[in-house]
Amino acid sequence: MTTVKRVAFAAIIGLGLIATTASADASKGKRIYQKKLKSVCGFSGAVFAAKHTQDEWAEAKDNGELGKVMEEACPAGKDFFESSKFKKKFSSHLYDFVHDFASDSGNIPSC
Amino acid sequence: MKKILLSCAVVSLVSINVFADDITDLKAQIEALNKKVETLEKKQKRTNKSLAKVRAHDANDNIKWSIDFRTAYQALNYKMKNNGSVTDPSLFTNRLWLGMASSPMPDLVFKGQLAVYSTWGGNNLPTNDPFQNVNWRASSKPDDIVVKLRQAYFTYTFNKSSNHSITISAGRRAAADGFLANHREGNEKPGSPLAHITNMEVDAGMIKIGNAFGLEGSYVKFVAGRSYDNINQASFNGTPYTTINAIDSDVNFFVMPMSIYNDGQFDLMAQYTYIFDFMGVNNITGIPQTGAGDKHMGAVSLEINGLNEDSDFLDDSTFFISGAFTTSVPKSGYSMLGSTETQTGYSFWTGFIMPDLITDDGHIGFEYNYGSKYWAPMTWAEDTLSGSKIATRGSAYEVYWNLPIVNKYFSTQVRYTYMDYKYKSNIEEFWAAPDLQNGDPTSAQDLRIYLRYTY
Repeated sequence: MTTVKRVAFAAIIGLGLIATTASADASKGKRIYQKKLKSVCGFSGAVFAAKHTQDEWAEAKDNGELGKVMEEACPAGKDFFESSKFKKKFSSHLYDFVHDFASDSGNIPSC
Repeated sequence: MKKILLSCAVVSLVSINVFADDITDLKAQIEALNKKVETLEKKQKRTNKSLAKVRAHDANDNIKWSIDFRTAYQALNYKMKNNGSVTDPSLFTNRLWLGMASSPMPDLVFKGQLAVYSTWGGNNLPTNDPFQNVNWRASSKPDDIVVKLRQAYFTYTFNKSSNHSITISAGRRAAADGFLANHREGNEKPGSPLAHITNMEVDAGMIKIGNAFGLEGSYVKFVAGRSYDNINQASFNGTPYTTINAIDSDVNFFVMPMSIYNDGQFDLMAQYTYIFDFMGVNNITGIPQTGAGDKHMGAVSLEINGLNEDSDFLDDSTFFISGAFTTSVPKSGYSMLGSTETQTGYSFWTGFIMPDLITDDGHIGFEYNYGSKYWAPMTWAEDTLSGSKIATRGSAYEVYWNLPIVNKYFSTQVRYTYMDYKYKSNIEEFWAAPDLQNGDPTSAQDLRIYLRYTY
């Protein structure tokens, strides 16, 4: 077995032992918006996220009202925001996305 | 009458007592409120002073910085034709990217990036080795600890709110780690061009037209730039930055990357590139030089993010497939890729990235590349130390494990790449004939393990 293969094998075993932190994914949230909401809402994800500040999005999440606040920002997405899939599957990723690109996030989009 | 007067007097006395109590309460409340107002006014004064200091401090501080720092272990192994093998069992590197962003208004943006990519410790790399030090990959190959400019460009967008926005841009961009290559680099987002034919640091101007095809997520960019400027030693003659009796020519390029359709799940992109006065060999002198001919390149790439919503595994998986060509057209008296005739090379690239089923957010990716004899893309800034795997003439196999350790801020990757060369590897002498010579590598292995901090 060559050095390259030995080291690769050891690294894979070693990294398998690292406990990772579960996290939502802002880029996945962006894709979800693009796929599920962009045409429904009629504006881009950047415009949607900038409807509120980071604190406002965080407060909505803490109060369990993320779907309601998002629905106020995009009334046409009512069915989506009230669906069980939104609560179970999409909300954490969408939250990460809107929080990252909130009106006071300071994030400067690339061209 | 007396009774009535007596009653009134009693009621008045009771009322006065009641009002007196209320007035006392009100006085106490007003005093408490006054104290609160005084406290708030003091706090407000302190806040104003602090804010004034912050404003004064940040008055000309118009750059927002970001950090991407990666430290990596690499192991390399090459098998040579009729000459055994060559190995570097441990190569350690540091890579620092300092990102800059500045935007005085939403339509006008500056972006920049300073880069250091160095080996651990000093090294004996030749200072003039073009593998490290040429303009188009200067910050993409490990060398010394000198800070280099990787990106610096502005963008200005007209009609940003309309469907057909137009953006202009100029400067230096890392046209590297582009579409589809972001997975193997562990990057969330791809860079701008299609990585199948372009992975270079470039200096260029650009016009981008949004919603170019009327399809969701579509746009087209028109990019024109220069990859080599023919400035010889004319400063000795008192005429600096001019060309006198030079054998080389300027090398310019025109690139048209486009997003044809992108709905967040299906992402279809294409690119056409024309390079003027490219590198080849003068058939009389045998000297490699620019101006030997022109080059065309094209690619179409499709990525599917999320293969089936009803399955968490498939919904979190990504599949991509891409096809590309490169064509060399030598001028009379010159040869390109060892041929005096027009030659076309083809390539195919596919990959599948899936959840690792062990950790919460880790993903494992598998990729395969094929390149034909005359396949010669511009991918010299690709971050594969053994040489661009996308440029492999033959087959390349790759597996990688991208693993977040602390959210997106601290991550690791193990990547193993195996390149099986049927023809000469397209690493250095990109004008040379593709046939394998004694002493050329017939295969290469590249193992990389990194820890990366991004914020």
